[in-house]
Amino acid sequence: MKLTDRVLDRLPPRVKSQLDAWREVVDVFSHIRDPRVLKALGPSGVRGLLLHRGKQGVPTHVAASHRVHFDWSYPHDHPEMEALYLRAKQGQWDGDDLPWGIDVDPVNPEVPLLPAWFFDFDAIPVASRLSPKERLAFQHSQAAWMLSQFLHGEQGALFAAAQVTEAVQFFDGKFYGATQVMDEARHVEVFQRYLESKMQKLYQVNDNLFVIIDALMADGRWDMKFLGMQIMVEGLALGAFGTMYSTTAEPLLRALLRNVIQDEARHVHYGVVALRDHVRQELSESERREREDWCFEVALLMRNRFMAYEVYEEWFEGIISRAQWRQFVTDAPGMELFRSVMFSRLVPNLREIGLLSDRIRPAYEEVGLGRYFDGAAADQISGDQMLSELDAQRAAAA
Amino acid sequence: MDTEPLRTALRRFDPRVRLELPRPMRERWAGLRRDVQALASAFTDQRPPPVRLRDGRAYVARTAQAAALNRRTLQIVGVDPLTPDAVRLRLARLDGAPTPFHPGQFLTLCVRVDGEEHRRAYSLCSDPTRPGELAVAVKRVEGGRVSGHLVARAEAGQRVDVLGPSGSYGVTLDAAASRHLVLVAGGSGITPHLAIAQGVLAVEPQSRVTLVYASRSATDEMFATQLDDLVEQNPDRLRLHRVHERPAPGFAGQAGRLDAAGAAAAVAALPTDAAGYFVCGPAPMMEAVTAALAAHGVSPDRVHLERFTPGPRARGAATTPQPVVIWRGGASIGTEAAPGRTLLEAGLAAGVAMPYSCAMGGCGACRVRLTAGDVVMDEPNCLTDRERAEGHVLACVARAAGPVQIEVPR
Repeated sequence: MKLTDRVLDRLPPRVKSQLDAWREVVDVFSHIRDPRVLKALGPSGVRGLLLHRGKQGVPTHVAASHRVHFDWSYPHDHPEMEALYLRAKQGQWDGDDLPWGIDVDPVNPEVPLLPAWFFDFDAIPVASRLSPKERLAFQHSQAAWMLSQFLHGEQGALFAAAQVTEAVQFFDGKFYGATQVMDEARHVEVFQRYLESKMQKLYQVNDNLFVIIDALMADGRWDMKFLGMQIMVEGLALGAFGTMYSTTAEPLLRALLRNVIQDEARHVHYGVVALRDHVRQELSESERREREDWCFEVALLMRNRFMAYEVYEEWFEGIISRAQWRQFVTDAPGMELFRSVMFSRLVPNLREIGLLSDRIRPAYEEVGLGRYFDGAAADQISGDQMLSELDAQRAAAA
Repeated sequence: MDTEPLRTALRRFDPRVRLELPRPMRERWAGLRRDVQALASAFTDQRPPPVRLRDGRAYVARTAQAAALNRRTLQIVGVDPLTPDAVRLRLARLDGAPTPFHPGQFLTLCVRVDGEEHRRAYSLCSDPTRPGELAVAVKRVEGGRVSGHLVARAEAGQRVDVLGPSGSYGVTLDAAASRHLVLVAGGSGITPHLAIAQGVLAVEPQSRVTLVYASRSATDEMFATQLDDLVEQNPDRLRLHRVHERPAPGFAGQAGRLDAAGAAAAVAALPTDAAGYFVCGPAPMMEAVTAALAAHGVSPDRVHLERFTPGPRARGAATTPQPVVIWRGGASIGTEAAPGRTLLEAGLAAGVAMPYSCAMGGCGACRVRLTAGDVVMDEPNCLTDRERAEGHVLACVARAAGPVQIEVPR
């Protein structure tokens, strides 16, 4: 055993965990190749990963620096966005109409929140020793953790949608953007209500999610906000919502997610429409490359770093190492499904807006995302189609 | 390695600055302190907990009220004849989403007949484990405008507005339960019991059901084949006792009606300690069965009744208009209730968003607190003794006996 290992081994588990966390931070940032991306994500990384700004127990203030775009001539400037606005108006729903009367028992084996196969409990001895009851309680924690992150993500989406509405240069986009602000408020409302009244617990915001939200709130460039929010975070959300929708047996959660997914499909479509022309016509090649790299790094962050450490702290800290936990979460069949649903939506959207050139494709290939290059982008697929695909997946799994 | 001195030093990192700093600087200083503490949290055991417990109390009242007020449009996806004068309407949400319900609950259908909207409560008779498609059974009532309209005119593809599911009759399914339930049905009173029997047999492997079902004759019996199938699938857990007023030759069940003598004969073979006795059907039959169960030694708190028709109109209501003050959320509205009008009708007419659902004293959604004055209510209704003692009344069947003041829960 090396001396450093021996020293490490004698540290208290909490300190060991913290050192591992810092090593992960260094790992994330040392892998970023484009210095401009490092500059854009770095400060947010420090605020989220080192200073845990999202977990300090007080409201977080993020300075915004975007420019608000006014137009006193009220042009009809984007028919596709106008059509989206009309659809969005008609697609409004009331969170109170969900069947809140359903009595949700998070540990009822007859109506599991997550299917039994979501985690491979036999993968690590400490998990394989959990009793059936403890496994249900653990699944409850994991489901509440996922839903908590959905909630935090939706809060970010609410403010980002408001910023995007201010900054976007199309007037039809502003109308549409206002409906998205309402959509996000409703999502915050229903997730908060579900967590408080049905799960009865709320997890802290995950540091990596905080980094992404912080980065796109603080970035002054409107197209970076669009990219971050409409393409990346909404893509992540669709992956996560889709996974939960197609695997949970809890009817209220399914009804809730069904409505949310239909809204989200519209949001990603908007992102693709707004960015497609911008990336192809307005940006210089150097600016385009920067965005392409930025998306790749954020995609990696989303693929590798949502490790539910908050659940680890609650259940296994001091019992297994963070590295063992990472392996357990990474290998979980449910998380595999989540990554697959997420990237099958995200990668085609990047292609559609022109951020998946031959230059970056090998990097995606290298991390195993090449198989999604030819999928359907958001402007070619409706919320209903997405839901029926998820339903088919669910039927196939049953 | 002893990290205690370091931990103590970090824990004590709380220098107080005595200078009166301007506000922006004070905030920055406080932010810096939090950042340092967060950075050091791994060594000081002061890390915030990863998860906080929430009790969700804020949503309880809202949930009950939203459920009671929840009006939605369903589509008729099928109409199946059940008997010569009854049909089953199969209903689904337009977006295909499920509508979960407890077996025993009812839907209030808002039906337009000749331009006028009527509300009628119908128990759900579909399988509660399949909430994607709901079903109610409608039997033509003599002179009934709504039932006659539905039996003759309802077609697949039509839309109908509904309130609910609501009502507290029936059971909450529990996979771990091991219980014996007795269901006594007369005529179309079979509907909630069919849902209860299906739900209990599907979800509670250790529970048993005894169903006593009285009909005029074999042709008037609703769901006959479905019931036979259920018995065949659950021979040890479902006992079906048929009672026919006009038995066909060779009928193996009990002949006659569930009047005093018939009810006594039907309950004689029942256990006295079943977990619950649920009775639904025409009023005289329910009275006879309730009396027979009491005589048989069944404790009245185990007997649950579901009424399809409103109780008789109470006497003693004022014959002149009476002032009504309605409090809701700290604000009040004064109005006047015309003779014969219920408090609910008076409140709604004055523009107060009062909750309600069945509008016939059966579900409790319109419960309000009487804070001054007297009312008379149609009896019987679903108000419990405890609710009465607490001063609650049902606005949908309460009429002012003089000036009154009520409080609508938020």
